[in-house]
Amino acid sequence: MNDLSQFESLTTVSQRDYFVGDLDLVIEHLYSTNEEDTFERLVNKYIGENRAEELIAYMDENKAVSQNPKEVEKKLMSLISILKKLEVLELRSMVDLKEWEIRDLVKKIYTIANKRVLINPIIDRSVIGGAVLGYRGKRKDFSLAAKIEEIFNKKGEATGTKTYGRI
Amino acid sequence: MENLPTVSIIGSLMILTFVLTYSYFLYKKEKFVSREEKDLYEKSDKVLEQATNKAQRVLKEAIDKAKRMLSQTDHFQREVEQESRKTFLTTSHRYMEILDSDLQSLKEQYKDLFTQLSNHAQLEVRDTVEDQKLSSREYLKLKIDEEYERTKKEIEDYRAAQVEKINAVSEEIVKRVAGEIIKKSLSKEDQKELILKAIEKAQVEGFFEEN
Repeated sequence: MNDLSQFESLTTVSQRDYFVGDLDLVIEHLYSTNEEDTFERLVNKYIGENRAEELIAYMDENKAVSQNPKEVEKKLMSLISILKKLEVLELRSMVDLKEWEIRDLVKKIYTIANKRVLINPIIDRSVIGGAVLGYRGKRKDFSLAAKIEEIFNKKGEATGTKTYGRI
Repeated sequence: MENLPTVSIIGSLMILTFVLTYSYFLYKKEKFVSREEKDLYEKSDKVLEQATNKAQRVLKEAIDKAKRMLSQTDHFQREVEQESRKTFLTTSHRYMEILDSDLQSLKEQYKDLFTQLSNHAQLEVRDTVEDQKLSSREYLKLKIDEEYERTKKEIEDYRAAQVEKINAVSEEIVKRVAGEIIKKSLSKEDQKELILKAIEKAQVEGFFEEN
């Protein structure tokens, strides 16, 4: 998946923000005088296990020389920049989606729209079913609540009565 | 020197004689003056008595004359008063008669006028009352009609508002119930499926396209 194919498990905004914080810590300790503090050790020390593997794979893939702290820093800063530029899809639904379920959604979006996005999941019980999506400042209501509202509005128009807001 | 006492005695006797002689002449003179003074006093008393008598006589005559004048004045005053009284009584009596006559005439005139006015006023009041009755009835009818229309409109508005409220509440309840039923009837898989369908629909609608 583009430059970030190694980070398949990175699917939500909170994960991205957490990961960026960890990367800042690694950069902070790159110039340590302790010879034992290699890049791999720093990654394993400051970054979670799964994400650490993904990062090392990413660095190998991008031929970042781990012995040169300056190059490593440059590459990590570039990665942080790419991560911060990722598009975010706000997904308002009634269910609490698991990590793997969100990952499936990200894959689905990538498949159908060819977009690598991060999901910002929000639980909202008024949605009833489906989802309300927000993307690049746009908002679209694909919820069952909107459907019900629409049905009542049509009924109201037909009978000449009004409807009174969302459920 | 043997004659000295004799001389002295003789001398003393001579002095004594001289003194006695002088005293005698003084006494004589004094007596003459007293008699003259007495005569003068008597004469002056007499003159004074005559003057007093004359003054009393003049005073008496003056008083008598004054009394006579006063008596004449009182008499004149009584005459004037009597005449005035008589004239006043005559005049007042005459005026009273005129006044009585005028008053009687005025009374008659007022009586006639009052009767006329009273009749006229009665007619006017009757007409006014009739008019008022009529206009009051019309006004009352108009007011009742207005009040009826206003109340009718208020009731209709209130009924419409209440119906609208009931509709709103009913609709809200129906929507909530429908929502709750749907929520309970949907499994998590169904929910996921709906989310996927939402994403697919968003793609179809160009939601992910660049602006």
